[in-house]
Amino acid sequence: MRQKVILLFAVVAAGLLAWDLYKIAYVMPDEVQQVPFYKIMYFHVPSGILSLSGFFVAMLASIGYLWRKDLRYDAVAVAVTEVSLVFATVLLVTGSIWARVAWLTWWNWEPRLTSMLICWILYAGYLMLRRAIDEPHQRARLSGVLSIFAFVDVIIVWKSIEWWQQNLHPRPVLKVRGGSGMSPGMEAPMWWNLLALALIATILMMLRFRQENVKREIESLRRYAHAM
Amino acid sequence: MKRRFVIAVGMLIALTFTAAGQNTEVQDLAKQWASLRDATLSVAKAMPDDKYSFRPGANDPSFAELLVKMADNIDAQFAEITGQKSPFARPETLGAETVQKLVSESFDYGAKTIGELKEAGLDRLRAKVLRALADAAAYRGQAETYLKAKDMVTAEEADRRKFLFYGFLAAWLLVCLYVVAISLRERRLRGELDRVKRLIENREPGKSENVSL
Repeated sequence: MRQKVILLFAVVAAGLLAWDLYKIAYVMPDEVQQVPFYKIMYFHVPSGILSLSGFFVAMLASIGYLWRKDLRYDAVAVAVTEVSLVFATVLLVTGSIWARVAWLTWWNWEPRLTSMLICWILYAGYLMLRRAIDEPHQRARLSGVLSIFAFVDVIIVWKSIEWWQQNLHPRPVLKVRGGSGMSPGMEAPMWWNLLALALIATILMMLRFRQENVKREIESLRRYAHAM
Repeated sequence: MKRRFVIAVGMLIALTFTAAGQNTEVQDLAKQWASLRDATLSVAKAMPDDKYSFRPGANDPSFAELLVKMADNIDAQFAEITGQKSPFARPETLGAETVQKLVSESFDYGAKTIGELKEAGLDRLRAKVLRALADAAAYRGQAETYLKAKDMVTAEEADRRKFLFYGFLAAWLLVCLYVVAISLRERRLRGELDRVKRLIENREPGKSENVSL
């Protein structure tokens, strides 16, 4: 059943992405100031939404583990965190390339970028911490606490463009965040791309979750073998 | 003595701030003008020499004529600001090199005029300078449409397109690398699971141990 769901998601995501890439490359008009370069936003923004919402889900799963002491919550937390970190990397890299064109520099230590980099380091630290601890419950407990702590920075990333008025990073553009919105017809591909990337993220999370279960099975079989 | 020192430092600080605050608007205008000059010359250079006679429609000016008209307009507007005679002289031939030189000289004339403006007199001339900027920007935009009609882009736009490609490539490369990493990990975990299962089977009574953890 799970295989069928993954296959279905993959087919839908591939179709959506192909259609979206065609629209972005050939149908979408150029923007006045950045000409075609603004199109990088169709990957940058969905990657940001996916990574930050993924960290939110990871925090919920971590709370779930700390409350129930059920390792399945921990497996969800690590699967979601790892995939979200990949999209956070996409966010930082595409953002840096955008900055090179728009600000003529690859990086600027302004609040949005700095808080996002800290966020990336915190969640990379989360994954490194997990590798350093062998005992499953101790690992889940400590990484769960770190995940909850790290989420404070996610809120700072999210609100930084409103809290710090002198930000170089653009202020909210999309209407859902109180911005003036994009020109008619320019916003829809963003949401379709978000849906396609969300499907890909879901597939990756399901695979990663299954791997975490296999890893747990191996660990328990090893303990059983040692006890024999 | 101490009081004199404090007064001197205070005056120095005040002078520094006054100097820093002076000509800010003039400097901004000069910066905008320089940026417009670069963008215009970039459009002029992007058009091949043999396409300077290109005109989108029979009644439209050619690319060269458009730029000459732009230079004439810039010179006339800044001559009005300075109260002098326009330095514009229509060239006999409209080759790419001549036209680019003409446009460049017009922008230099504009830059020189802006540089000589005084903050105090800006209130009287601001509207004229801004109109010159707006008109030049409109000409530059019009010239760029000629490029687009010929499916050409400026060097800056080509650069932006290159970075857009890098951005897309980086995004997909990162996702693909992660998919490869997940696949490799899947294979390793499956192998490890099989090995542990075999070990347990072999450890059962009556079987020999030949697999290690």
